[in-house]
Amino acid sequence: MMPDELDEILRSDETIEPSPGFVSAVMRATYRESTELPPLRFPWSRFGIGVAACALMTGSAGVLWSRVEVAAPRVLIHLLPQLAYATATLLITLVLLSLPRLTGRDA
Amino acid sequence: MSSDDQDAAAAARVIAGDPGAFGDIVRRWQHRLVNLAWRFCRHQATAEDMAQEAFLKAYRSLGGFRGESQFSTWLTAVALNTYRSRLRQDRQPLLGRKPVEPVDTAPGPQSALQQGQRAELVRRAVLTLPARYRDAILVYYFEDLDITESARVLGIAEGTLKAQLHRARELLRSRCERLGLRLSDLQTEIS
Repeated sequence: MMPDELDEILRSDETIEPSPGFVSAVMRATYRESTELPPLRFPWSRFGIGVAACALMTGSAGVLWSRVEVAAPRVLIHLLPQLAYATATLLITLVLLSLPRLTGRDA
Repeated sequence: MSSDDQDAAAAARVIAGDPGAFGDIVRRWQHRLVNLAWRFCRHQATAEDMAQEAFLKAYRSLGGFRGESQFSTWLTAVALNTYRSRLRQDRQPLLGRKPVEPVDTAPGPQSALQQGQRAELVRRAVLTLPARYRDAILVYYFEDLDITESARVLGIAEGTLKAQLHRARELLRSRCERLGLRLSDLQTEIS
């Protein structure tokens, strides 16, 4: 097989004519698109405030925890790694479940 | 007024709130977008559906056209991305007719119809290539775009495109041979 032959075949591909109603179909869809309300934007500002509040609360909880560490039941301290693991798993699951909604892709 | 100026003027009217001006763009570029889509699916109705999707995507992102490249390059790139996404969503080539099958290459008189079918098989074999090689071939040979414009449409460097075209031709040649196609058989049909 010669390279020139392959070039010729690929270059000589036939063309098609769009249907007579193609332009009007596209324009109908365009007008429909222009009259539709724009999709709601993800509320990043509220999301940011929420994340900041969560961080603040977590920080506060950490400080409080360190102050009452002596009084905390020993069993709870031993279980801390497991609790952290379970919490992280739960958070990751929630994030994964929310991803399609956050990215605007419904299943 | 050049085609680029007409497109720029129509785009400005659309951005200013006149969606009807988009009709000028659709009329001017329908042939190109439908034919590019047709190369991906070899089926007219599907190609028109894909081209409509591409035009709508272009309509939505018209405000993002900065004029850094020609309008035709920008629009073709938008269309190409739309077609790629469509292929990814469907997870299979959008072939409208029968799949590529090996053909009988026994020597003997062959009708023009048979030779045409063989050429069609080669073109359809392009659609079985890995996506980056398929896209390189389809864009480069589409309306005889040059390397520079093809690379811009594909969003890659010219050197990368040259390497991809070289590899794509090698792959295509070996696949055609596996299908029992000898390109020399097709010469009479093309010339």
